[in-house]
Amino acid sequence: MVQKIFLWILPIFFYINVFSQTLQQEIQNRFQLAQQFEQIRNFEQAIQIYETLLATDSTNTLFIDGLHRCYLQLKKYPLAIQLLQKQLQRSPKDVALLARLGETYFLSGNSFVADSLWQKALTSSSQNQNVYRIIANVQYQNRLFDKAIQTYLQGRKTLNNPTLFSKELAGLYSVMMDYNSATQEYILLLLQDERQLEFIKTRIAFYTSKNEGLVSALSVTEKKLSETNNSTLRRLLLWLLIEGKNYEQAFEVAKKLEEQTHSSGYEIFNFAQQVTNTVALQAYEYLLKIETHPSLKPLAKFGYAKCSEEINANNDTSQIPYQKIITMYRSVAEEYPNTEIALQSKYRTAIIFSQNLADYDVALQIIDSLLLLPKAKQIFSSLLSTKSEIYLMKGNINEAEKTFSQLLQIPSLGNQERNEARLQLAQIQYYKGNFDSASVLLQTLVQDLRSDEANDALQLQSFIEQYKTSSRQELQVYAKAELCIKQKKYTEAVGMLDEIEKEFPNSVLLEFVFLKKGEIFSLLRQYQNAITHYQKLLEVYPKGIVCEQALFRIGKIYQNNIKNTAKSIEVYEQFLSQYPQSILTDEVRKQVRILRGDVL
Amino acid sequence: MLALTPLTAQQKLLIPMDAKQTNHLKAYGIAYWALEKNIEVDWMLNYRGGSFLVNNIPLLANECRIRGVLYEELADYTKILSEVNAENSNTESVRLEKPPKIAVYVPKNFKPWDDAVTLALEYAEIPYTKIWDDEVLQGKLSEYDWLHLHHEDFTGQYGKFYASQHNTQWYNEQQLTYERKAKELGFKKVSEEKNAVAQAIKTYVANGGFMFAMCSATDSYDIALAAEGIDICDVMFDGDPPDANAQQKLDFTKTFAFQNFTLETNPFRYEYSDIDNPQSEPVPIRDPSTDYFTLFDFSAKYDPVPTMLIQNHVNIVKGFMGQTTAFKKNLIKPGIIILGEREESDEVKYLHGNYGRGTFTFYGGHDPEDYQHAVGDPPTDLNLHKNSPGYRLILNNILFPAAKKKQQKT
Repeated sequence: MVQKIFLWILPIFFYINVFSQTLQQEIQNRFQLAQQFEQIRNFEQAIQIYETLLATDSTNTLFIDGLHRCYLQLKKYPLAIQLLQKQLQRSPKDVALLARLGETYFLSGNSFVADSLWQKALTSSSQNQNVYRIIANVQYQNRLFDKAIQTYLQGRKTLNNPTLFSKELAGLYSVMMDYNSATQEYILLLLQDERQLEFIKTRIAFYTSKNEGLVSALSVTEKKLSETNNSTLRRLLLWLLIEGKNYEQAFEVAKKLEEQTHSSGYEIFNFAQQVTNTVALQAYEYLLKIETHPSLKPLAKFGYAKCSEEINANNDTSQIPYQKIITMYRSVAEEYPNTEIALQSKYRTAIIFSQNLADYDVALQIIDSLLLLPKAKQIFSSLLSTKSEIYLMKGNINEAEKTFSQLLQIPSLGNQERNEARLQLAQIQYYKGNFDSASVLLQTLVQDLRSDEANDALQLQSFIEQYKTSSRQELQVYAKAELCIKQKKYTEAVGMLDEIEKEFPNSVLLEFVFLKKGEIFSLLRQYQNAITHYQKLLEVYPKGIVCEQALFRIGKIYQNNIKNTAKSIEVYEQFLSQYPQSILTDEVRKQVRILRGDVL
Repeated sequence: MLALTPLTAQQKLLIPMDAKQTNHLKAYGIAYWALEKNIEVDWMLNYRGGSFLVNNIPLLANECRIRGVLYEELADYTKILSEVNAENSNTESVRLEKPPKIAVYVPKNFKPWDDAVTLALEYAEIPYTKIWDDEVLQGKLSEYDWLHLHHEDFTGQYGKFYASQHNTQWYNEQQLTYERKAKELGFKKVSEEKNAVAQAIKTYVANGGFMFAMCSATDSYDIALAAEGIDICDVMFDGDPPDANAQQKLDFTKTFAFQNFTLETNPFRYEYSDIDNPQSEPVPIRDPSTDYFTLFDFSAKYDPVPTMLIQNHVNIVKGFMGQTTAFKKNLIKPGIIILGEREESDEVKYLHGNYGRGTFTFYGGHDPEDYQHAVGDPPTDLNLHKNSPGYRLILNNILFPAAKKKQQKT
């Protein structure tokens, strides 16, 4: 009997199983079809299928979601609301469902019900942080940033945690362009975990590129710092001030930070490396006065001296006595012998002696002593190049030539340095009156038009080629005068140029002579004298090839040195009238516009 | 005052606009400057590239020199004038009356791209006023003769930059600013507010205004007109899905230049419709060295307006791309004047039409001297393109409203 029943039941189970599998497959196929209709934006068809599918399984969330999506696409908000309400009857405390229902009401234009549903969700699980995140996220998705902020603030209050949701709130305030509040929240986050400083800097940097963002971040940080005196907050303030290029104030903050953290000078040293020379100089000076880590002392001294050098280089008059700078470099070299920084310090003193104090012998002595050091290998080519230039300035032209040639023998010499040395060698040949040799050397440079020296080389080559045959003798004197100008021997240079005027009264080079004299008197700040020479050139050679340069320079002197705007404009307008095709025309036009005060 | 007095009545300056001109773009600025100073300017259509004939005043010649504009002194200009006005010559002189008041529609906040018209105006030193939605909706357009629109989106889809830019700061700030502005002006959605702006501009043109649009302002403007009252924006733009039947509901009778176009409904695609030709996505592969468009020839005496708009020293102009590069010919309404097109293709680059008492001109592409101007690219330095034929077309549009209306010859 049992056996008989079993034989009966077995096929039934088999058929039920097969039927069930077929049904499942059918449902699956229909679901996929609905999704496909959705993809091709045929929402009506998709709705029909989802509705039949939901009739077979009213709790299937995939069907519910699909149908809800399609209702929203077709703006069938009442149906979408009805669908979710049915689900809510089954799970009245489902926060996610409440959030979505609220969203649907909001989309339908009923903000009041939306708000009350979201509030209901928040009240139902008020002690759960995630509920606030779910609701705020729905509000954020619908660009209800104000409401999302209120939700997080409500959570913060209800859970009695004043720092909760700082990151989320900071992001929201930032999106809302409320930079004050955003910074306040980032500071809260920072005070919770100071390791977040770098992350917070990257977030704040999103708005500090705008002035109002930077101003907000600064004022909030300063205010909070006055209340807490927290060192990480001070570091944030320092960074903000540097971002705003307010280096003076930043320096004061850096000093306080140094005092507060007892970092043995590292705070100040790091600061000095990020700011302009003037402020860096103050920072290095400060560093030298306070107790620092021993390794920082030489760096501070070197930094101080180097900043001083650069400040002097960018000013017409030396602001810091060179002797003071040399003393600083020397003390580094003496206190830290056989170090890289000692080598660099000595090298810098050699440069100062040659370029600023014109004490070529001392400079050469230093360079020679450095060239003997094994450590100098890394800067060997720089040392040789400097040595060659010192020889040239000193007037020892043959030694200069020899040293530049030696420099060119270095196999590892970079292209830039090689071209510079070649140009120097060509110029030496020119100064010596060996015009053919100069031309040959210049030819190599002219062929490489990408090099920085190509332009200078081309100019000198064409000048030599133009006058080396017709005016060889006076060209030799002229070249010597140019060497004197390079060596800052201006009186000697003027004497040589006078000699050309006297000995070769009909020379075609004379217009260059007048131009060169004007240049020399400009360098000597004898501006009226300079103008006289330029004007003489214009009168004697009204069609000369350098007349436009002379007229331009007169305009420049009136503009920059004599500061006579009206006269300067008059000269420039004369220039535009006389030389409309000149390569200087664009520059002249620009200067007239600047002088007229035009908005360019 | 003395400087403003002509030397003699017969003496004039000719500012040639052919290949001899050293700075075509600044020459337009000189013409505008002269008009501002009540100096007579005649635009010599089709004569040496559309030259300007101006009274010979020392101040003007000096200004030409300072701005780098080439001029020729004419002892007797009447010969040229009679040559230009001769019946058998396709040339004509048009007296420019007054400097047009120019408005440029640009947002107050930063946008990470440049506007070719603003660049051209600033380079040519032609003054203009920036206006935005507030001013347009307050009816202030009537204070201006000329309105320029550039890379704007009148559909409320934020330039359809969503796919590539929605995580960038500028995009988010733009969206928030626009939303706030729409709300402030009493609109629920940005798309609705932009549509109201488009309608206000339409009224301005109908009342006799001159509108010039470039790049995406062209097609997005017409789309906005056709979609009045229809939601064509997807959820990321206005918070809800578009009308499922938006395409069928478009009313092409409301547009200026285009009809029968199909909307691009994919919000991730950087394109508004099929008007743009070639489509922006995928990025078209073209050889810039062979991409040119040709300007049509018009009768200077019988069609002075299109003639003014195409004045140039070349008639084949270098092509350039933009979000809207050019327009599909078969989608252009009948009656629209095609000013320039890419030969042997269905691409129209430059077109002109009338609406009510005013006119509109659409010019495809973003920057005539930057083949593919991308978001964040530096602005084009027009000092390097003083003779740009593409930029000249923009400046023709600026002077054209200054022309004195002559009695039609037909």
